[in-house]
Amino acid sequence: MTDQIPSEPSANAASNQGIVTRRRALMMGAITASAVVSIKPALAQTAGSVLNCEIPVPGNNAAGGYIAADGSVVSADTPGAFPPAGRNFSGEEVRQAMNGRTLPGTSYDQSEAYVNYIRRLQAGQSGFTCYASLQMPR
Amino acid sequence: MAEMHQIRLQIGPAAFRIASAWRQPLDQLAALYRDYPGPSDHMVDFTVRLEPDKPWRRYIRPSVHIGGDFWLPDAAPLPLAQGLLAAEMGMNLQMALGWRRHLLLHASSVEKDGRALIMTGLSGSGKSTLSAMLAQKGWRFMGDEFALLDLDTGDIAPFPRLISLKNQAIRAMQTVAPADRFGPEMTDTPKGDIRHLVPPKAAIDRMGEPARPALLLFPRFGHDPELRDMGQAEIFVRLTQASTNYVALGEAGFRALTRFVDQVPTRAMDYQSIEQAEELIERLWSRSP
Amino acid sequence: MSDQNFRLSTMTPKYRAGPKDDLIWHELDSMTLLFHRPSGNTHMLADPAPALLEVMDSGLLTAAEIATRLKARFDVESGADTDDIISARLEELAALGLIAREAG
Repeated sequence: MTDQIPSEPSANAASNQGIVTRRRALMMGAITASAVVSIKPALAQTAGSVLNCEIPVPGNNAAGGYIAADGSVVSADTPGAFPPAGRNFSGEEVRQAMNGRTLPGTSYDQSEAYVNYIRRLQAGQSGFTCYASLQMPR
Repeated sequence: MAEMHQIRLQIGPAAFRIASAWRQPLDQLAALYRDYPGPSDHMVDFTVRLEPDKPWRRYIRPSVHIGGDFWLPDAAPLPLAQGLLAAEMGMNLQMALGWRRHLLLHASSVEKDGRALIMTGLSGSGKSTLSAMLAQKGWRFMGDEFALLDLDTGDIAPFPRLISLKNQAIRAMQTVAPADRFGPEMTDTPKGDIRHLVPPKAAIDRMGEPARPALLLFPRFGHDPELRDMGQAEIFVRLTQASTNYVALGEAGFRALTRFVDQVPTRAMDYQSIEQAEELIERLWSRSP
Repeated sequence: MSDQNFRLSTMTPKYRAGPKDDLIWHELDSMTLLFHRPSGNTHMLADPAPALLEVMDSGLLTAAEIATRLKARFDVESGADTDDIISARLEELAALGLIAREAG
C-alpha cells in the first residue's frame, strides 16, 4: 500500500496546519424512499426482441380443455366455458389484447377468458416465456 | 433421420453452421453471403437448425421451427417462404443467448476515421435504417442488430450481417442501394414487410477491423428534430436493458459497460426524416474528438 | 442487568458488512453503481446507502453505532428521524444481501 496516493492531499495539508477539514455533506432522503435500485434486465425481455413467440390457448398439457371466464381450464361440458382457441396467438396479438383490443377471431367475452388464462400461466407451461417477455418494455 | 442440408458462414468474429431440412433458405443465404469469406476452419461457434415445426410440415404448408445450440420455448414457426428470415433470426438468437466474447448491445454501428458511431433503441427507433443509409454515404457499416463491445480494449468489433429492412425503409433504401444487393421480398412476416440488404463490399472486406466508440445515440423517429443530453445513470440502465448478456458476463460486463458510459459521449436524438438525422449526426461528429 | 434490559438488547438487530473486496464501486454523475461479486448483481445507490457501507466493517454493529460513525465521518443532514432513516436503509441493504443482519 506504500504507493497508494492519498485522495485528498490538500485536506491533509490543511489539517497539518491545524485547519479543520469540512466533512462531505450527506443527504439522508425520506424515510420511505428506497436508496437502492437493482439492475434486473430479464432474459425474456431481450431475447423476446430477437425471436417472435406465440401462446397456445390452452397449452399442450391441457390440450382439449375448455376455458372458463376466469381463465381456468375446465371440462368441455362446463356451462359458459369457451372451446380451445383454433390457433396460437402471437406475442404481439396478446400484448394488444392486454391493452384493450380483442384477440383475433374471438368475441369480447371469449377474448377476456383467453387473456385470463394467459395471465395465470406458470413457469413450465407452454406460452409462459412468451407471456413473461411481454411484461418488459420493448 | 431425414436429410439436412447445411451451409457455413463467418460474420465478424462468429462462425455459424446453418442446418436446414430444406435447400431453399440455404440457397438464398449462399447468394446473399457470396462476398463473405467462409469460416477459416471447420470449427463453428454456433449451429442454427431450421426444422419442420411438426413432421408433416416438412412437405405440407411447410413451416420452419427456429432452433439450434441455443433456443427459446414458445418460438413461433415461420412459413418456408420466410426461411431466410428464420435463418437470420436463428443467428441473432445464438448471439443473443450464447456469445460471451464481447458485451452485446442491441445497436447498429458505423465507422468513419477509425471511430464508431453506435445507435441503440427499441424496435422502430430507426437504428437499422440509419446505419444502412450512412453506409451508403461514406461510413463503413459495422452492424445493424448487435454492437460487440470488446471486454478488454473497449473497441467495437464489426458484426456486419445482412441488413434487415422493414416496411418504408425498404423503399427508402431502394433509391440509394444497387438493386442486385437486395434479397427476396417477404411480406406478412411478424414484423411486416422485410427485405434484406447486403452491406457494401468494403464493409464485408473489413469485418475484422474494430473501431473505438466515439458517439452513442438514442434515436427516436417521429418527433421534432432535437439533440438532448442524457444523465449517466439513465444511459447505464438503458444499456443494461439493451444488452443480451450483461448479467451473464458478471464483473467483466460491469467493468466494460461502466468504462463505456464514462468514455463515450451520448445524446438522445429525435428526428422526423433520415435527412434530418444525417444532418444532426454530421454536426455532432465534426465536433467530437 | 435486569431481565427486561437483557431481552431488549437481544432484540436489537445488528449488522455486518462483507469484505470490502466483495464490492466494486463506480461513481456516475447522480448515482453510485455497485457490483456485488458474490451475487453478480449490479445495484444503483443514492445517499445515504454508499456512506453506510463505507463506515461499516466486519464487526457486528447496531443501527445506533452505525449512526454514530456516520455522523463522525460525514456532515449529516439534520432531521428528527435521521436514526429511523438509517434503520430503514440498513434493513433495505440487508434485504438485498449487501449486508448481513443478525439478532443481537
